[in-house]
Amino acid sequence: MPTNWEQQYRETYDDLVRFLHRKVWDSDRAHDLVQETFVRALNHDPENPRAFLFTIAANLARDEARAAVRRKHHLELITVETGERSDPGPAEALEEREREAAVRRALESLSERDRDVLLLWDAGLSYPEIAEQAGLALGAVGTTLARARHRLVEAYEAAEGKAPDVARG
Amino acid sequence: MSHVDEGTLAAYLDAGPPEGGRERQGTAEVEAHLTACADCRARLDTLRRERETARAILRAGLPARSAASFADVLERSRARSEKTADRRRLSRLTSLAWAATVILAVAVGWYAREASFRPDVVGSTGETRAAIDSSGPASPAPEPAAAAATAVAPPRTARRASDRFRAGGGPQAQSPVVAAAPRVPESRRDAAAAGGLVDNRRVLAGKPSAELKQAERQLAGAAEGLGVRAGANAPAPLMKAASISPWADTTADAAVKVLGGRPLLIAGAMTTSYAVSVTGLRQVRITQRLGDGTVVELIEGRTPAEAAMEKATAPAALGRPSGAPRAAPAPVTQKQEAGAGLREETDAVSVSRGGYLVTLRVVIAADKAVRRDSLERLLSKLR
Repeated sequence: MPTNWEQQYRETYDDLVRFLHRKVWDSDRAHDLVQETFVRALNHDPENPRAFLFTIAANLARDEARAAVRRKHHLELITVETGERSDPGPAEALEEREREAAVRRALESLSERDRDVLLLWDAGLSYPEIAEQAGLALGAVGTTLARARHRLVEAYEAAEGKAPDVARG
Repeated sequence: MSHVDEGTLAAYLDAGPPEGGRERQGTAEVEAHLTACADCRARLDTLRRERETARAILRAGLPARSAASFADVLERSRARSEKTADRRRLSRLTSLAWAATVILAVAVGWYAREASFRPDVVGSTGETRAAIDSSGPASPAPEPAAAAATAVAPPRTARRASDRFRAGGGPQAQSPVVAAAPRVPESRRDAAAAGGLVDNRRVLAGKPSAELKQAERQLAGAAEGLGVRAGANAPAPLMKAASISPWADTTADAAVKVLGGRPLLIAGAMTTSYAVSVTGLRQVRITQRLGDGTVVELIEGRTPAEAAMEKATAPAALGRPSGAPRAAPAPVTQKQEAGAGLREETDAVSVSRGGYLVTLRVVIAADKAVRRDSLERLLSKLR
């Protein structure tokens, strides 16, 4: 039975946006890359469509990061994105920008492997899918994931100077 | 009892499959251990807290934005397909353009190569332009002979030779001999353009003309005492044949071989050169300088009748052994030489001896008037 990509689109869109946003740190670009991910996947009929989509998304994000490094305007994109966002109020907007920066700093403090495993787990992939995507042994996924989560929380709290509200919520 | 490691506890939390070599433990064993081990329960609580905090961190601060519809994805895919198809068409056209460029370049190169091999095109003389005009598309219809040559598709070299010959002022009717003749060097072609002499010689060398045959007949007539007319009153064909009959310098030994015996010479005169005819006649021209500065030439050769007789009678009768002197001619008078003619003009006289014809001609005369008796005396000195 051929893959129902429209259904996959509905079920995976938010996870892909979040995954890509944490990779490229640009909301508009993340949404655009999600569409591009499905455009590239449409002509295929993979056994595991969800894992296949995240594989494409990871490759797109990697290409995007390389292009961003070449253009050297990655930070400008973030600035533009933050400025264009809907602004409920100056104080809330400031807090939101600070939180975003703290998340980014925390993620970038991780190793590339820990970061990838963490984002794939957050996107809802199973342990075997994470193992295949990250190139890890299945038995190493839990250990890597536990270490990544611990380091992320530590790094975020250090960046915030306190335990984040999100942790309590 | 050993504690459960963090990887197994994390997998337990995430409800993932048991890790690696611990599959046999199963979830029930982990739960049994957690029931009995307070340390592992505390570690599990820490891991659960970190898990929830990490998820909250990762999902915080994401901008809210509505998802694009799947129709947008389909439209984007369709546009991508068209773009790809256009790119393929462009690539195909580009390939065809490259192929056409290569073919054109090869064709131009080939044409340039052909042109570089055609000295007619390189030159700048009137002959060149005539050759170009004659080979160009605007040239008039070919003559019958040329049309016949075209019908049998002669080699390009032969066609060029005929073009050059025509441009050099040669006869309009092209014979196959001329068409197949080897190419003439540039300097000689210039000469041909000046007077057509070279091409005429080529024609005569390849195929003796009727004029030569006529000259030969007249020389044979002299041998038979019918008289030879030379000088200003000589028939035009004979004069022309004499003027175009080329001589090739040679040695005395070669002259002996051509004549089949030692040539007759004027006793007491200095021999300055030997030459043999290249027209096919067995003739030798000997130039001698007399004491008073007069230069004469002796043209010696066989009469056609003698040659035919020798050919019919065998090699043994081909004449005297090489090097054996011929008998000296008797005193030259018409009375003494009945049947063997002596004819004299102002500067030439001929005598026939035993199948050999000797013509004596004054080339450079010390005195302007050369008397007949002087020529007779010279003939009497032939040894």
